[in-house]
Amino acid sequence: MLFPNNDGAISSKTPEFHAIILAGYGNNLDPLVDDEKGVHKALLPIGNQPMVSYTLQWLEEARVFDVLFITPQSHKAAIQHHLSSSNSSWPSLRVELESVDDEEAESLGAADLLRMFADRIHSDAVVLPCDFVPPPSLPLNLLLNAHRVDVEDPVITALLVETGEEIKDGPMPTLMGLHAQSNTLLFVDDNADPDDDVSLRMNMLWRYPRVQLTNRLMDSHVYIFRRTIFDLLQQKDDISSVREQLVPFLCKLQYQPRRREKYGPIINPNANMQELALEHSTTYTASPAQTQRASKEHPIHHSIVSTPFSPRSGASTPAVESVPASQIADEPEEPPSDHPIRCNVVVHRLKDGYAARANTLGTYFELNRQCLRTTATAPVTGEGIDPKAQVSPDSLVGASTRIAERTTVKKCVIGKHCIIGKNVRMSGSVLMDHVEVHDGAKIENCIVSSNCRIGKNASLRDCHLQTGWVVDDEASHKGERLKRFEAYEDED
Amino acid sequence: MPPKDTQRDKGSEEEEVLQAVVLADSFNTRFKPLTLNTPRCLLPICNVPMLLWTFESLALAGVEQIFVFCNAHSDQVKEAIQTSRFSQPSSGVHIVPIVSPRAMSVGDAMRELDEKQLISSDFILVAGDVVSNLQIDEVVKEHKERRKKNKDAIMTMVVKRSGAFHRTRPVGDASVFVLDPTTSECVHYESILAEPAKRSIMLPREVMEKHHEVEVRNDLIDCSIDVCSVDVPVLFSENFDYQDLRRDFVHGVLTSDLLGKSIYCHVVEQGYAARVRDTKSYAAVSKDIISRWTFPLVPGDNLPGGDEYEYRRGNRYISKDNVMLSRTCTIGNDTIIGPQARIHDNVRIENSVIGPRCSIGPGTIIRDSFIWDDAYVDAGCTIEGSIIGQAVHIGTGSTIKKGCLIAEGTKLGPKAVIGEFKRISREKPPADEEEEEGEEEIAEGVVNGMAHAKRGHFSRMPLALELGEQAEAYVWPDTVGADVGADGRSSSAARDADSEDEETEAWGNLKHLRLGMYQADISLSWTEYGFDPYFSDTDSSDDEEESSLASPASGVLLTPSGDSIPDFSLAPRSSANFRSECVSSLERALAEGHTVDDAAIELKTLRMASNVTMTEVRDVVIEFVVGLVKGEPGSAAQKNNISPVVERWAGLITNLMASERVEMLLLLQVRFKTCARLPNYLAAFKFFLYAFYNEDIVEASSIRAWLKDPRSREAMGKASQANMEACWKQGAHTLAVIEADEEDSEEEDEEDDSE
Repeated sequence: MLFPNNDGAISSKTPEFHAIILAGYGNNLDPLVDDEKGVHKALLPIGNQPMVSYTLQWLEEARVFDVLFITPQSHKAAIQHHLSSSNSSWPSLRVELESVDDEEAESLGAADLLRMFADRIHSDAVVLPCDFVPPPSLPLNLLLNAHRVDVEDPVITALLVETGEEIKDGPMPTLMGLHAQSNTLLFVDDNADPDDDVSLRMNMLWRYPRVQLTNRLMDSHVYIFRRTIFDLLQQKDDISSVREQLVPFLCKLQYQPRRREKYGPIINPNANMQELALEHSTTYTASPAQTQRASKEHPIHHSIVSTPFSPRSGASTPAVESVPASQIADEPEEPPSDHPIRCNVVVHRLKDGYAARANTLGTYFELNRQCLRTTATAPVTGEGIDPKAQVSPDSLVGASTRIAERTTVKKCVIGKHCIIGKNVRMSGSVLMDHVEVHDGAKIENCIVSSNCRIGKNASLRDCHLQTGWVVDDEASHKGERLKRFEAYEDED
Repeated sequence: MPPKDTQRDKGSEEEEVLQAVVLADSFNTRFKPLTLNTPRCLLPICNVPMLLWTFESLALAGVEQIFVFCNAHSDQVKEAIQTSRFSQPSSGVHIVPIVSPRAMSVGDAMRELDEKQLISSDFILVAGDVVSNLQIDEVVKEHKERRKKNKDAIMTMVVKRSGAFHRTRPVGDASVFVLDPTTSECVHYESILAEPAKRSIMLPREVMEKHHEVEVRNDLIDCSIDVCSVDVPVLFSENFDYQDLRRDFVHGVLTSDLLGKSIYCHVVEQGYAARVRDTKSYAAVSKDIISRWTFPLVPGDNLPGGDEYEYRRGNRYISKDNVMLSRTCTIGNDTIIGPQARIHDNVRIENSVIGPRCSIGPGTIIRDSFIWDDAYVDAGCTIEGSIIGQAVHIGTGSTIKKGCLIAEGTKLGPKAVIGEFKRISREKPPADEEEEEGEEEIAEGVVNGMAHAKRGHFSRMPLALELGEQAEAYVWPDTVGADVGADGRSSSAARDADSEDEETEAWGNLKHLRLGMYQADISLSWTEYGFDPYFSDTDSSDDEEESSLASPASGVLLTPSGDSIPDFSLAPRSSANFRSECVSSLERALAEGHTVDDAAIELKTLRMASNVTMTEVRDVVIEFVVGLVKGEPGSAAQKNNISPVVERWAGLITNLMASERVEMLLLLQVRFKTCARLPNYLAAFKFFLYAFYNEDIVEASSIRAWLKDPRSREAMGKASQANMEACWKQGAHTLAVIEADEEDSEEEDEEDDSE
């Protein structure tokens, strides 16, 4: 009774961390994703690898083996297939694939999903999106350690990523407030109205007098949650989004005493273990404020502590008596409790490598480019590549792809089983699998989905092509989103 | 005399002469009644007039020409300058006093400066009560560098990093600076008063578009040292409504789209600079000097004014000039004994400053107090946490509790008992202080109109106060109600929110008051255990700011709680006259049946004459109109009386309010929240609101805006919070009646956030 089993305790049965991967539809990646044709966001290639494999490898490296993979029902089969087929890159992961009904999945937020599967999680959780691509300089362990070593035992550790200059089609930055000295996340601007002034609470500024406000950081949606957050989610069922509701809510808990009073016991169920232990010690005399607080917040412990040995019933200190109880009870704001709630934050700077979520076309494209930057600098050769073709070293060419003579490829990612004709010029583009490019085509800064066919002498610039799109011979497109509405007959 | 002085003279003559402007007047009355006969800048701090500290700080920075703006008691200031060492030709500093009796604010002084064309280049603007050891010339250099690149960088404010709860950072007079960390440009400024308590600060979103990363700093002490370019006085002239340097000028420049000027901050990490803003910071700065934070300007070394002290262990300073210390007296830590002071047998002095030529009688105990020049304290007295002015005579066996201010020449005792937080002077308190008294009365009984009940200002409260048989003294009315002792929180209700430009009112006081209560216990236990209250922050951080959140100890000085001198600042009542005149003008208008237009014109003239803000006028009018409604609180009669009254005055209210409907509703709300003890009365709020609506004074949209306005739900002081909220709820209800589709009022937020 006195020492109930701590949920967060490390035992042989429950792992230290349980990973939860949330895979969604990727509505911002239109026209690349196409659920009808089985092209799902989680499996979109980045640097010729499905993006989810980066996440899984990241977990594997950090030795977080228990993974709960939540995906919409319609994606399940394809992802299941991918997980079982390329098991070799994450041999020790135990991935449980769970799905939610498609209609529900559309309307549910990340927090709703977590709430739904809360009973599956018995330890602290690492919540990740399927689309986060970490640079090599950012191992997951960095994050886990930040969560582990923090003396204040954070309820949440969030990963923020510096965005640098704005990327075209990139995500909108939100305003965030940090306490840089203690790596505390203090403020997430949850006000959607851009005309309103930013309101900063004074109680935050009293507690954290130095707040760094920035709109250059993105929430990576990689979080480490304390187990009790799931209890909180059960309690507060109006929280639907993690990023927009749960995190701002937790931030506010840090400096709003009333809220903390209300929700603190859920998050810190064993908060006064130390106090309790001290009260049983014979040499301990509680300070009046502490005693008051303890009795105010945790009335249940009265029955436990009033043993004959307790200092409260025995030699109570004169200080307790000299201060009228009413005064302390009337304190407008409660003194900070011994177990503050803290939102830890890890900031990944741009200079340490580009990290982002591939949830918009802009970041998807940029991540592909970043992949090229980190790949080998040796000139790319392969059986399918004609010796007379020029493929720059900073390109990536998938297996069984054929590139014909006098074709130049610069800074491109080319998938598997592509057929590229003669005299083709390609630069800065992403080609997925099974793309056919006919002779003399020009492709610049484009994303070409799988099974596309690009006709002879066609010219494409800054275009995004849907799966199976056919570009006619001699056609020219610039800055377009090539997406079909009913034109199915174009398929070959 | 010293060769380096002349050298410096020569060296800088080729360059520009560094000029400084000292504002000797503080333009507020927080030190009353101590400042009745002495200008504030000449009040001694550690036995040296504050002005000399300022001069010394400036001389340290290599300033060569100082203009001193004086207003009140200018002859004394001039004389002090004459007799100081800076008037000697060898000092290397040229001091020019400028008397400007018309100046009522910093703004006026700056306009006069512009008129006189005294300033030739960038100059240092500093208050007359600053103690600092900073190298201000470095800041000037930095400022000039910046000016070369950017002509619009017109000002550099010197701020010092400390903690949020630093003792020299008064809770009632702090400010939040929003800085760009790379350029240290100040992008937003907001002053934080203790009352009305700010719930949040509003940062304009445009700021974030220009600066992608800013730092919000609530841990900076505003040193009141600014390096200004010549444009600053000009800007003051152009914007003749700027009064306060920070709240008007800085705020105005930063929020203006047209001026295009920028203001920078210089964040001092090392060194000391602080301004004596009020009695609380007076105590804090004294302690800082005694603890030698101001080195090299410390007693026993380079004390301005030139008195020599012997520095003993435990920060005891005993003057080398004929001090008589009895063999049996006990001088505790952190104490200064001034020249020619006489300390008799068995005297116990701790943590205090004893001025020159003071005499402390046998067996007297003095703790945490400041005894100024020539004071005479007879045998067997106890003085705690108070300021005793010049030549005060305290008779045998008197007791002065903490927080008292005893002004110059007062006689008390024998056997006087002065309760906590009394202000006593030899002269009668001026008339406007009585007004203050009356106002509190009103606040309690608004229903019955403007009853100016004048409680005798010589009120003797038999329990708390005994002046003694031979006393020559007047007790000033309490700013914090006498009922504080009863429950320690009630009188914040009595303070209305007229503090448009006045600082630290009841809530702030109250907080300190309560702090004092705590501290009595604490400091007692300290003495018992022999702790040094300055450097032991073990208990203090917990106890001192119990009511607020603890500071993450980032300050140089950890929030010590030795400063038991609370903020006694009075509600300065320059506007009190205005109030009474306003009310009588309105009464006349009522009696003689003036048209509302005439009344409005009269009010506007009054406003111009007394130089008060529009808000004040509105407040008076609202107060007056509310007061006109007769009838038993909550009764039907009262309800029926409302609409004719409102109808009669609708024109006037509309006229005065212009477009500030939301503000008017706020004022109305504030007016109502003050009647804490009349629950029935509160109910009338909605009738008023409804009547206002009927008379087209307000529209549904303004009510909605008011409801949304964070101020309408702001905690104006704890006791009254419930009333504010009651009003707010009624308002919400009324709006619902007026308009069926009332918006969802964010219940969750309301419930969680109200503190």
